Amino acid sequence: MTPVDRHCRRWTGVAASALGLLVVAAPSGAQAPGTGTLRIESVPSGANVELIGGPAGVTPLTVTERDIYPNTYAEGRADMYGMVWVRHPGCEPLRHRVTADDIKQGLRLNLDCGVASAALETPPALAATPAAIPAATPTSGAAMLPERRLRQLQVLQELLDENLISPAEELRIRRRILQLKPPGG
Amino acid sequence: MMQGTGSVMLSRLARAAALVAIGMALWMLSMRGASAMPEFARRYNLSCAACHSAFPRLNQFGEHFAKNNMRLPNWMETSKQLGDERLALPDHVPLAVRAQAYVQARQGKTIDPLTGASNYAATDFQAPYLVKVLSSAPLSKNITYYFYAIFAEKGGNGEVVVEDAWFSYADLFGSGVDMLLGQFQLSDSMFPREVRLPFQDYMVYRMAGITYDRGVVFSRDVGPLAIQLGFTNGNGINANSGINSPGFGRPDRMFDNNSSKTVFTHLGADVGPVALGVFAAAGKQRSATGPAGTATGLRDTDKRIVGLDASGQLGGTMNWYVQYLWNAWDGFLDADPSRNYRWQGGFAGVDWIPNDRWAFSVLYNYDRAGDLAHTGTIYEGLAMNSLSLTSSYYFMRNVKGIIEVNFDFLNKTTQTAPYFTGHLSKENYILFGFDTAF
Repeated sequence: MTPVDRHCRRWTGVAASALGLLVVAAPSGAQAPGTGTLRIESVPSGANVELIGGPAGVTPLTVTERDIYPNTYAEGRADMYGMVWVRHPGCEPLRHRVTADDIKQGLRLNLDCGVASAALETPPALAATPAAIPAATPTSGAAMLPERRLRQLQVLQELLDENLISPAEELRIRRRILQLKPPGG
Repeated sequence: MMQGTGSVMLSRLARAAALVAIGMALWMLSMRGASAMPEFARRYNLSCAACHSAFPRLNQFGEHFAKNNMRLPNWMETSKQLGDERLALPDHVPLAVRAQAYVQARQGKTIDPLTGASNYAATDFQAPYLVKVLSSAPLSKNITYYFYAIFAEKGGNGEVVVEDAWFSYADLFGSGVDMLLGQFQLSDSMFPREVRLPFQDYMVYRMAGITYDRGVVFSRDVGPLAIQLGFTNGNGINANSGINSPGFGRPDRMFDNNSSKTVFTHLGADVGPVALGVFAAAGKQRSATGPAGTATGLRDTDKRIVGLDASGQLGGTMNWYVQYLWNAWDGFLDADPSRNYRWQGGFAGVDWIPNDRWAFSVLYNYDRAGDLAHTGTIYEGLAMNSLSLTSSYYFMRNVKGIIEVNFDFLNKTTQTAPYFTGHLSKENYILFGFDTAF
């Protein structure tokens, strides 16, 4: 073996060791410190939370970003990508698209328990359009400003124009948007 | 003697690198992160995690987003509200930046194929490796644009190179066909190089000449089959010449260098848990001439490529991919225009993303020069046999540090032809650096 070969072997060994060091240093836990989590609260509390992966627990609870945005999912669940469904007996089910602001500030959802309305089913036509529109009532942020409501209505109209939702679904969602109460109201 | 000195330097550097790695590991473990906001994340107020399993690799939703004309259904919400329904200006200038910086220790040399004069740098500060400005936005119900420009790529200070730059039109005339017009990579129909995790490239794409070109691609899903059909100039993205025959000072310029076009297609389908694809391309390329084939000839020669690709997942955290390409370069060398040259190659890799902090990649490149071996030309250098191991640590969703080691298994060759061609130096390397997008 020539000196050059020895040097190369030594170089290769040290390089592999350096790489191995970083591998060994890798945290074994699924949730590393500092990565995104989402705190979900509801009024009333004790609501069942469902994410794209299925039931996630009861409010208040904390989930990870990967629970909301899994790297893979069944195509049949595509409409749930990035969404939070909250259900509580006697309240209208609530569907919310998670934003970066939510992850930063946490999510506090007011459930409409005034009317024992029939459960709002998932609009089937939205299944092909993940995270189509936010149709929830978060109390955080500026999500309930009139301008945002106007934008929601515009998006809704576009979905209708593109035949992604039926007129009946459009009417039902439009009513929900227009019935939203302002923050604190 | 010089080689021995170089190896000693490499050895010393590697020891230092190990110490740096220890420091990096300790520092990384003490880091605390926060959310990141590159352009699409800014536009839709989403976490980077929505589209990336580990930046820049796309997850399932990210691929859906890219395929869906790079937009979400609520894209109009992100436009400036000007009261004109026929105007959808982005509400901010849609820019993003990607920057990379590396330190590398390597064995590869610069060798002049004609004289044998060589240059060698055992260690190399490749910082900045590139600074890239990207922009994309939906412009109408059907049209989206995307482009990026690279400043000083790989040390080319004073250069600005525009690579991907295109308009896409979804659902052309209500046909369900999507069209993309501009500059793009033919290889994007298989495994997009820009979203790979390793620093090491998908080498067979580069060597087969199916990276950047100017043209048009039509895409459509037919049942379970994803079909792409494209046409390109076939001469890359740098050439252009003035058109002076109509007269003096005419403004038009010619981007192509001949009338023929490269035609390519890719058919993809999921077969159980495996995504399979078949690629084919046919076109012309200029012959190679001069000493060691270093010059571009005047003849247009036939070029054909057939490829097979497959990819899939292992568990929820591991992705694998395999690519094979067969190449036919007919009459390519002016030294023997009657001879047809065949060569083949490919790569295989695995990305393992165990959590949001770490990603590990293995990439194996294997190419054989085939009929171009022993031709005394630089195309002997098509041969390659290397394994790259990459470890990426994410300080933030959009900021990562990487360490990569490349093992070269190809035996070094000695000069046999009149020129200095072939695998004259090994290409082992170790690389540290940063890669970020914001």
